[in-house]
Amino acid sequence: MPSLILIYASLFISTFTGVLFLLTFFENINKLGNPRIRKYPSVCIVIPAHNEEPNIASTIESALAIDYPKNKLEIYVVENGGSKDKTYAIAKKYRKRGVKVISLKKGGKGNAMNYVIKKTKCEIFITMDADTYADRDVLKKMLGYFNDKEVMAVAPTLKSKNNETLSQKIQSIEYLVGAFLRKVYHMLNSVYVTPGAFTAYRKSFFDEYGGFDTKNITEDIEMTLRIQSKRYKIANVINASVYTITPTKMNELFWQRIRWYLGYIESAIQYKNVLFSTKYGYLGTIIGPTAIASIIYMLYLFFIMIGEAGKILVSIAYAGSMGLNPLILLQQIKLSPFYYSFSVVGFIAVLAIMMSIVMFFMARKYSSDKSDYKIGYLGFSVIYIFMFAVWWLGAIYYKLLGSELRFGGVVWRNSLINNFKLARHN
Amino acid sequence: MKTGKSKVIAALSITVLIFVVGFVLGNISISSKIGVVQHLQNEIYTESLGFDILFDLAEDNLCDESNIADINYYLTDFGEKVAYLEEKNKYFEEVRILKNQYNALEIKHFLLINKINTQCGDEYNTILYFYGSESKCNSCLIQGLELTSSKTKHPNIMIYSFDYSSQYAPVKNLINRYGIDTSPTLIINGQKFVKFRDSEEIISLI
Repeated sequence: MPSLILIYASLFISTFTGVLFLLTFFENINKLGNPRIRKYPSVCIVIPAHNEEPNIASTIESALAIDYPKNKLEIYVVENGGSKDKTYAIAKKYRKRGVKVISLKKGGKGNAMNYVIKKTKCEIFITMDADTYADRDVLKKMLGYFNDKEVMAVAPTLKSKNNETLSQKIQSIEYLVGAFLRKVYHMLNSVYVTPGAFTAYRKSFFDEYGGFDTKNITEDIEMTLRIQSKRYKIANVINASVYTITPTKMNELFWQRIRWYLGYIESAIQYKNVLFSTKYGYLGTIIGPTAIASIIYMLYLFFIMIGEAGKILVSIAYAGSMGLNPLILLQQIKLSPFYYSFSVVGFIAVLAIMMSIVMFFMARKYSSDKSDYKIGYLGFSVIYIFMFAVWWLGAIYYKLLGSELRFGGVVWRNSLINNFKLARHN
Repeated sequence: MKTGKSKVIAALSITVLIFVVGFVLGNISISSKIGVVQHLQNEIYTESLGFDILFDLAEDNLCDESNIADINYYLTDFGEKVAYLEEKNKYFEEVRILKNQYNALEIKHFLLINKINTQCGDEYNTILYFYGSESKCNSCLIQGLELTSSKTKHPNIMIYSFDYSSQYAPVKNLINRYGIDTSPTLIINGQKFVKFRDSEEIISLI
């Protein structure tokens, strides 16, 4: 019985948030146009790069091709952590086209960006990953939001550039559903994650509240929550597209997500008074708590499914151990309609799927996306919940008991067990 | 930063409406299924009156197989549907009552078959099958399937299934009579067999 109450409570929360998001989106559907830039601000695009030889040239070309007054645009490439490949050599060739190329011994994306923050006087500071490509009109669509003096960051829609493997096809759907959610979060003034791959910040915010937190493995999440904690706004532009190279293999994807989720856990703990406080409007009252509830619900569903699959496997193994053909279990399947009844959980689940399909198509329509998603959607529907649960379980494990992880040039040792040992040692 | 109360109330109202519609449809569905089974139960009761008539006719025609063919059919169908309802809605009191009624009919049928066997020679083999819940009896699922399989191969087998944990007095009477203390246990033609038996073994024990 307690599990039944938990299922209904989770279903209620997830249905409520789904309905709220759709209501919010359709309420604002006529306001999706972007504000025009009143006065072109000076912009610097900063591309931190560590061992990015295969992509760095295309990324710089993409930045150079962005449609924006050239006298207002500076491009920085910051090779950091001593790349072992030709990243620096390739980047240096772009000096003659006005790109400022810097090499820093110290590794880490945060360090690279903070270096430029101290150096430059531009009004808008844009982070761009070295494996990211932007549409030409991206800045003209994004920067009008800075007309509002309370807006401190503006994010575009991040899409998966290469959709070849199943892992990438699934990610492309995930990114598109994420685009819808981020637009709704913007409408609710509750954006709590901006893409580290490409986001524009008002530089005066850094001048007042400091640069990126170099100890945080997801400095972008920390910065987003810091902006929210100071009660400023973050905008999302659904029709400004930026493309990033997504991990091709499941194990690469796993480690990317471990970093993201560990960073999210740490930032959520750091900003718990923002994410779980009624003083912060929708963000603290609904978005933050339901985000946690949805993670718990997905993990719960995952264990239910694993349990059911386990039962079938035990029955098959038992039949096998008795020397029987496991197909005998098929006798259990009943064909008469009497045996298939209407279930409330099933009804709500179908509605939830329909809502997610609406979100997907809305994101597709308003971000002018024309990709073919058939296989991705199938894969997304079938295995995403398992992938999501495994990533979260992995992140929770490392947060509790992990020893050391390396992400690019940053070493992470911030597990509870390490902190406990350190406290005892001191 | 404030929340728009009217929008939150609208979203809450729609969610509550979705749940109400879901529960109403779910209730209609399960009521209709209970109705179907109750209809079946009435049919079985009508047929069970036939048991008495059969007894009355026993002296003249007890050994005529056609007398019990219909009862066998309805009893099997009733049993499968009660088992399904039990699996999906075990908290419903109606389902527990239906299960007891089904067990009563099984026992009545079992006694009738014994009488037919005595008076007409050994025509039917009877198996009383005492099963346990899934968590307590790993092999019960397969045992049930093996019994079904043995009946397919040997139509003269009459299988009567009883929940080992039943609190229904007639079932408890059988449990005490045969000294059942574990599941699965089979009583094949009055002889007790403990632990799993596959269909070949069951047929060989007849």
